[in-house]
Formats: sequence, structure tokens, C-alpha cells
Amino acid sequence: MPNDHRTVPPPAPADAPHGATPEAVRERLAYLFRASLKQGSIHPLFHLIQQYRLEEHA
Amino acid sequence: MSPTALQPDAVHAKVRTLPALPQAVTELRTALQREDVAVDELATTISHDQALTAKTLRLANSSFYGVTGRVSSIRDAINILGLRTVATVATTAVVISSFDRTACTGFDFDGFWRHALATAFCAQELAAATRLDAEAAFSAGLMHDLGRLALATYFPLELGQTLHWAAEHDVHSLDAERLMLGIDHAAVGGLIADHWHFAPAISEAIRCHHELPAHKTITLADVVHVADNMTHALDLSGQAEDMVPPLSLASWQRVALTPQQVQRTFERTERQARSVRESLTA
Repeated sequence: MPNDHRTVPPPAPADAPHGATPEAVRERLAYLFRASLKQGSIHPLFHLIQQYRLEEHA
Repeated sequence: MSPTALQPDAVHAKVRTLPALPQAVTELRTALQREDVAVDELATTISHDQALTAKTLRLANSSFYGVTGRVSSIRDAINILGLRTVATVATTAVVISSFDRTACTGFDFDGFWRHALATAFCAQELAAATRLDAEAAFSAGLMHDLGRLALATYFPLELGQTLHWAAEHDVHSLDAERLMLGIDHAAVGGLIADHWHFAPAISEAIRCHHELPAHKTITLADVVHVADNMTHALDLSGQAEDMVPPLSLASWQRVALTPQQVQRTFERTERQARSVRESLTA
């Protein structure tokens, strides 16, 4: 069965409508890591890359 | 369940049709194993292959190597960059040109190379941090998904259906390949690596980058596996629907990076990937 609940990919933060806001960063990362998040697990890189991106755009 | 499953014989037959690596590249790689390398003789051999020379010089002059415009001959390249780097550059140039832009629906050729390059740079960083062979890591990282390029080139209909199915079900393309094709790109890549007589460590890294062997110590396959994960997480392929694959905890622990090494790897991978990709895919 096709997945009827597919989400539209959020843009890369640099291309987001309001720029690279923390919200745009979080949305894109949640999308990239959706496979592990759907399974209820936290990918070992998730927090590392989130911290890196948020510091970069701070 | 799998109307597009590939016959193993058909896959093997297609791999056997791949041309051998140019003699100049083979000689260059062989020369690296010797101590008494005659650089002049080697430079002459490579220079006789005009296409290889042109591709190698274009890449050697890219901003990544910091010598833009200064490398005008293979001899210059060896003197300025060193033999090992020139061997990597030449191999890279040849591999890239061995596969044309394919007509496989849903296969993003540019995105493929952006990811391959980013993984190569990331693997090189990780190898330096973990004291493995950085040039070998670069080669393995660059070629880790070669099997997918071969599938797109030789089985475009089947891979196209598989990618469509993966997108429709929002699952990782690796799982879709196994389910729909009965084989995955890592296994196909391993066949190609054997066909081209790559070093055993590089072949293993290509074949096992999604399914790590149970080694006690770190291997090139661990480095490529982690680099592949990191570059997906860094979103460097430019593919809107990218997805970070599962990470082997055992592999992550063998690589054992400090927080500072993680930060440095992220920063350098992004910077390097952006600086050189235009030169490689132009």
C-alpha cells in the first residue's frame, strides 16, 4: 500500500521562505531522519547534526 | 512480489561488459605499491592518454587542491600534488567518465555525484582522524554507490520502477532494491570493484557499506558507512526527498570520534564538497 501520509519535503534551511530559522532547520532535519523517527528511535547523528546546524545559523 | 527482480547472471554479464580501467591508471596504481617508482616514466605513460590527462589536469586545478592554474602537465601534478594524490585524481576522473548520464526515470545523476563526492571528502576526513589511509578512503567514498550508477545505466527500467516504489511508500531505496530487484546496489558495486581489481579494502568498503562485517578493529568499510550517513545528514546531495539510512552502532563505536572531530568533519566536509563538485561534474 502506498503511504498516503507522505509529507512534502521541507526545503533546505537556506531555501526556506523565512530563511535559515531554527524552525526551518528542525523541520528539515526531522524530515531527513524520518526513517528512524517513524520507528521511534533516535539516530545517533540526529542531535549532533542538529546542534551543529543550530549553532551555524545562530 | 517482485516483477522486476534481476537475474544474477544478467547482472554479472553487464558488469563484465564494463571496459577495463585505462592502462595508465592501472600502472599508476601499481606503481604506488613499489618504492622505486620512475616518476618521469610514469608521467610520460599518463601523458600519452590525452583524455585522461585532460580530465586529471582539470581536477588537479580545481580550487580544492589550492593550486588553481598552476598544474599544466602530469609532471607538474606529480611534483605539486604527489603521486598518491595524482593516482586518486586520475582514478576519480576515469570512474566518473565511465558512466554517462542515464535515462533512468527518477535517477538524479547530479545528485548522485554530489553525494558521492561529499562522501569521499567525509571519508577522507574520518580516515585522517582515525589514522587510516586517507587516499583509499577518498576512493572508496567516491565509489561506494557505484552499483546504483550501474543499475541506472544497465537496468534503467527496473531501477526506475524501484525508485518510484520507494518514493511512493517513502522507504529507503536500499530496502526497495532488495525487495523489488532481489539485489542491492552495494552487492552490484562489489562486483564492479572486483571486475576493476580494486584493492581488497576498497572492494569490501563498497560491498559492505550498508552491512558491516563483524570486525574488532576499525576498517575502511566503517569509515565509508559513517561518512555515507553523515553526508545524508548534512543534506549535501541537494535531493529534496533524501533520507538518512540506519547507522550501525558497532561501526560508529569503532570510528569513535571525539566531539571536536565530529564538528571538524562536518565543517570540512561541507566546505570541500561545495568547492570542488563543479570541477568534477562539469
